[in-house]
Amino acid sequence: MESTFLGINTVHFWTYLFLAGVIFLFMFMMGAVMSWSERKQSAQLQDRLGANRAAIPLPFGKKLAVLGFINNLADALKCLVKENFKPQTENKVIYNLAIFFAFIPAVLSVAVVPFAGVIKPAELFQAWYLKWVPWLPEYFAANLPDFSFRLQVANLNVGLLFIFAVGGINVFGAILAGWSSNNKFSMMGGMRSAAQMISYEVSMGLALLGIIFIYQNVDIWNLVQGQSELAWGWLPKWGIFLQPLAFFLFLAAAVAENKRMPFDLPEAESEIIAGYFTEYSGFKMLLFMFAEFIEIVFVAIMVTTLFFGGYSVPWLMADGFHFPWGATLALSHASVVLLQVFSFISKVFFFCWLLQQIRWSLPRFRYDQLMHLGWKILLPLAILNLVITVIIVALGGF
Amino acid sequence: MNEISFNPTFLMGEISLIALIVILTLVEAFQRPIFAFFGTTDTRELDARNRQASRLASIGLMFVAVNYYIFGRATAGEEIILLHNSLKAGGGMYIGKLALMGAGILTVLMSSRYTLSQQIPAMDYYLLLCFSLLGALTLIAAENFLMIFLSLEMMSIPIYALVGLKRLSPRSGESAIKYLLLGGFSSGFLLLGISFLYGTTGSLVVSDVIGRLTFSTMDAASFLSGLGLIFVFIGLAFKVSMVPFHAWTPDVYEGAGTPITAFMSVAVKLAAFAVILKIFAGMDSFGEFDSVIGVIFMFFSLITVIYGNSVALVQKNVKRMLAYSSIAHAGYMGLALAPMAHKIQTVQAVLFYGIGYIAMNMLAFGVLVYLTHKDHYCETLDDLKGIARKAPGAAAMMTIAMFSLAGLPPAVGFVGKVQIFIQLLEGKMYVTAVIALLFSLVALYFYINVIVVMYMREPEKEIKEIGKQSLLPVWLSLALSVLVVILLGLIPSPLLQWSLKWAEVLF
Amino acid sequence: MDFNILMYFVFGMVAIAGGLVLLFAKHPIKGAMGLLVSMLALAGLYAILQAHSIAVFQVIIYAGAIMVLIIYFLMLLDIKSEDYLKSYAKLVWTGGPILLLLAIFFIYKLYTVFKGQPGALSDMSTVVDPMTVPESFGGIKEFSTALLTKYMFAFEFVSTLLFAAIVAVISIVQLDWRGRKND
Repeated sequence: MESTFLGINTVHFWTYLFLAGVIFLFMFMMGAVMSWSERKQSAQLQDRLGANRAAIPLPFGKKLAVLGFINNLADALKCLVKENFKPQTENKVIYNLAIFFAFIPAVLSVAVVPFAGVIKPAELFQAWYLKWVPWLPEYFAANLPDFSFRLQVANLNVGLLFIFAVGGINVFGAILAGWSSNNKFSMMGGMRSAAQMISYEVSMGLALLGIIFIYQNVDIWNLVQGQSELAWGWLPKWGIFLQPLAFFLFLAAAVAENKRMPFDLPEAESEIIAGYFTEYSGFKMLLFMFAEFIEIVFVAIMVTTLFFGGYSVPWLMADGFHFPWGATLALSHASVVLLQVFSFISKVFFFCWLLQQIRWSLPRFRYDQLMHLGWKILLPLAILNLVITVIIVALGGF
Repeated sequence: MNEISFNPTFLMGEISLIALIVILTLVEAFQRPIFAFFGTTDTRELDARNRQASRLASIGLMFVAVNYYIFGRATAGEEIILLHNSLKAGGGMYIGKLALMGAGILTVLMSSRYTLSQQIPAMDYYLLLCFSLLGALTLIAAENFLMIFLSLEMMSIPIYALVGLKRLSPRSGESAIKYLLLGGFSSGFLLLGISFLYGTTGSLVVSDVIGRLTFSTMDAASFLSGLGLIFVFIGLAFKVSMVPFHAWTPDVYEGAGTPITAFMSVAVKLAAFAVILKIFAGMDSFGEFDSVIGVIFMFFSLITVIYGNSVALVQKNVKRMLAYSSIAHAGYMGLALAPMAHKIQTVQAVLFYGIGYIAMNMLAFGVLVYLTHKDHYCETLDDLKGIARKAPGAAAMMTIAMFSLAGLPPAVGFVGKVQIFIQLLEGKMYVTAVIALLFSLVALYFYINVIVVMYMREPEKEIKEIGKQSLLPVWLSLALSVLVVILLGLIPSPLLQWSLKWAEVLF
Repeated sequence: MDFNILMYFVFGMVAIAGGLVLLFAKHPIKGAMGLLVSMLALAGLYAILQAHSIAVFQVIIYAGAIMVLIIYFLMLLDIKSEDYLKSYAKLVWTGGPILLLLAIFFIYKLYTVFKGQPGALSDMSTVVDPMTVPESFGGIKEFSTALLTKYMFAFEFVSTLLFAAIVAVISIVQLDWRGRKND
């Protein structure tokens, strides 16, 4: 007899709750890592040392700096104890609400992304290196021999659209923050970011339509499944091979959505201080910054999932590697899952690095150039890409 | 499953109208190269562009109508439902579409002078007019509530812009905003009503919805669908400007350009009335609720007739007077529905009245357009004083129009009113008929007053020469409408036959 | 209690609360926020009814596009005038009681009608029970198939309607104060 909680299978409920917690924590950790690597990487590019001063004093005059990681802790502490500045505004509620509009969508959209394939707990804990959890293998083998789940918090059949929906809500964070701060610079920042995000959302969506056409799906799980297949027996059907143009369009549009350099007009420091979050200080400012870092990670996750096969490793099947030249390498279920997770995370790290490299390499656009790029270059190219894709798909190309 | 293939002649009117819209858009987009090709270099001149646009639009729209007249004739024999219950075509719909196209052509013809004198960018104007006409054509053909709503919006949205296009006068912008807001409000009512009907019957197709409605017991479904019907009625009553949903009419009619007012008062009204008839007149499952709907129609229509005619009495502005008169005419059309006898003759009477109203109202507004030119804005009764001496032809036309609107014998208005009163008497609504008749006598006063002013009053100031700017199209439109008014007044039976056929399609 | 039914009531209440905020908020932006919340709650209701695609499109189109535009223009207009608030307050005080009476009548009528017939709504609706619909219901495939076959004409008609609206807007916007076209 299956127990239920509010009409939901209890095991499912706790599994997915646990999974959601893990992925939420993962995003937070990645956000923290990004704020560290942002400093270090910019320092590398500018021939500096970067953050290295904050340290925990140890006995015997030693200091624990951990490559500047302690700076993060110091920052968080500083933001907590700083004066909580409140601007002269009549709209306290919206002023405080704006942070959530900026922050929640950034973490929410990752819910539909698969981090690995199907996991069978009964089989997973059979691996020798997971045997150290003594009671788990027996528990699953005895009670839930057939239980399996996907390493994906929400299995929505409209997953890709869900990401767009959540991304659409994201715009409100900047707009409302800018408006409710009662500051002209904030207002300009909010306006700029709203116009920019709406403009680039169009090209972003159109660029992804090609992907949807090729894999005939908007379910992200099926998109990744489609990408793990092979073309001509050897080439993984990754989005980057089938949709190279869409990859660049998407990357450009996603960076613009992220309001990062070279598209960081909404918070152009030399013009409008810090844009829409000028009037936020302390921990509120930290949350805005953190949301931005998490968005970088999310852009990397999107690029990985849609164009680089997500968690899939070339030629890795559920039972091990099947190389195109005929060789096979059998692997246990646990190893396959771990390889997939590792593959996913390393791809994400690579794109995080790439995005930061772009951020520190390119100068800022002018606003008219930004709009020109969005509407007159990216949009026509995205439509061209779509038309070509549709023709090829209609001719049975893929 | 895929019934996309059908005989395209059934939708010949819409297809050729869309083709015209595409051509007009392209001409507007590539205007300069095209003008250069024809040797006109000074393309910045508004007048030159307006002339070109007027010629193109009027010839194009006539071509569309002739095309439909020739090819659509074959479809008048049978009626079919197209595209998954989206549209109904064929049968007597033929005359309805032709009447609406006629209204469009008359508007376009009188617009050429008006756009020149009021400096309205003509191509946008004609494009929007064509869009609105397209909406009206699909509205009378709409078979499900989704299409009814979309067509209604297609008909209204371009008119919101057209009303505001006359930027020389600040009243135009004000009336555009008024119309837009109230139009949005009425669309909200319509949508709410449609959603109630969909929720209770599970269908969007009008005939299905009507078939599934039962008012035998007053249960939840009946309550909600009754509310839905009332909301749908309110949404449509806004468009035909029945009291108490008329508040926008005088201001918008006064603020809009005269040809637009003419188009609004005839085409929009006829199309919206066709939908009201389709939804409410064809019902036979009302049971006890039947008389309720009849009483509602009688009540609203009677108020409309009384209000429209009495307020029109005191108007000094002819356009405003015609606005109130159009409210009153909506009341007369609604009155025919009061007996709720589910008689096809009732629908026939209303449709006949609507088509006749197109001709007579177009004639009245056409005269106003004819008398308006750059320095002389003809709107008030004072402007009309003694105009008969300067423009005897126009005054004669106005006289005919007023006779027809008042319902006097040689014109089509008389036949229309007689039809309505016959329906009332057959429904044994004697009191209603007497009140309506009384108020059409009241209406005589202000219609005749216009004639009196034109012929027997001395002008207060010197009347300037009638401007010569593109007079030909206006004369053409006046001649066409006066011909229709007189001919239909003398020989109404062909149109009565056609109205019956149209009523059969709607029923 | 079933989770779906619980969420149904939660979303329903939130939608109504958002609508009330829209009506009674003193500042237009706060009203717009109420509308936004209402839209999101409606999307939640659609999702509970298994109409995933419609739920997502509700968020993308209404919350992500239309509300952004509304808030954008409210910000550009920056309505702070006291007159506006005063006239609005007057409207609320005169129209409010009438609306309240209507609402009470409506609720009372619904209450009496439904009290007489438990389960009336499920009887009268020919729409299938959302809990027993097939797995694929409301998916993007079903949605698109219906859109491009059954509602194809309406779909295309909407695109024409949008074109008409674009022409309408451009023709109004490109006029200058003399009514001439800006080239």
